[in-house]
Amino acid sequence: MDSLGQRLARGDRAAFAELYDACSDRCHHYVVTVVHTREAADEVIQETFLRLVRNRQKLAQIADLEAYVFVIARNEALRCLTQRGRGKVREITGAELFMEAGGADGSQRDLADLVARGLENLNPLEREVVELKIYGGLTFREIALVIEAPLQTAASRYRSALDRLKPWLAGQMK
Amino acid sequence: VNSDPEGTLRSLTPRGADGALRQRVLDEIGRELAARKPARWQRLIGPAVAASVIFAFGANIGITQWHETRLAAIFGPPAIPGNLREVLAIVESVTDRETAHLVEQRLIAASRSEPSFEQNLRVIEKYFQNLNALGKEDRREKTQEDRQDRSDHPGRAPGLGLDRERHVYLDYRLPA
Repeated sequence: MDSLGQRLARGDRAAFAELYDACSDRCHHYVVTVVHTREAADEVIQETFLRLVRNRQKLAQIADLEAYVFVIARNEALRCLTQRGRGKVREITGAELFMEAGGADGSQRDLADLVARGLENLNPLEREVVELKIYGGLTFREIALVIEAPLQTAASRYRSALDRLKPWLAGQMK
Repeated sequence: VNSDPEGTLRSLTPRGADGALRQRVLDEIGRELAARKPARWQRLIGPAVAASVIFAFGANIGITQWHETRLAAIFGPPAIPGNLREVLAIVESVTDRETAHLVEQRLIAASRSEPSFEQNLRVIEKYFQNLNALGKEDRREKTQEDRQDRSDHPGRAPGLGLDRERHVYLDYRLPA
């Protein structure tokens, strides 16, 4: 039985669908936090998978395909930001990020908005690590690969972000 | 909500991508995979043409050099006119061998130069003068011979015995 990487390298369309299903939701969430709109994130995800298809011969040698998808998506997202230029960055709402924001449970809707605002208050470098760790489901080793920083840097940014969020969330809950 | 921020964050589910995006991306992937790749020979056309041009250029230089070497071996170096040889001997005695060689090349090149426009005009003018002179001479000879012919053969049509042709050529010899 061929590995997923070998099937992708062969150009198997079902293998690409499998990879998309495995990581697109998490990756899309991360990209939304970088480019700040869901429409731009859709474009970035599409371009990410097209790049994977165009360079599929490499995929047979990639050990961690999901982390690799995040690497490509991050590069595409940064390219998208560069093309868009420096403008005022709009705040992302809870409805754009979390399922609970559109649900019937009012307390969950409030929590989604609160967390969205809390994450907006973080330093972008710290936020990136939190998003990749908690909603991207990546290990610190994978995060270090994606953000192109040492493992210790990734771990310390994560701890620092949680230390900042803790009093802020406690203060908002009172 | 508890005091653990990590737990609070993990209690929420990312919204993820919309369903329509999945179909759009998979359609694009299908199109990309179905796109015809150029055949191997089509990819090689460009490099082959470039290689042919470079080869032709190199071969042209090589063949020219070989041909010149061959001609030089057969005919020897180009002859130097006597007056040039004298000038070169003077130059060499005053300067050195390299300078004399340089002057020799310049003089040989200058002596082989194409005739100028004025020289061409003079040649053409001389041609027409020659043509005119020959015409006059011809008419004079014809008149004399015709007169002689009529006295030898009374009743014969004038000029019947004259079928001689004269040719005039352009004389490109340049003045020394």
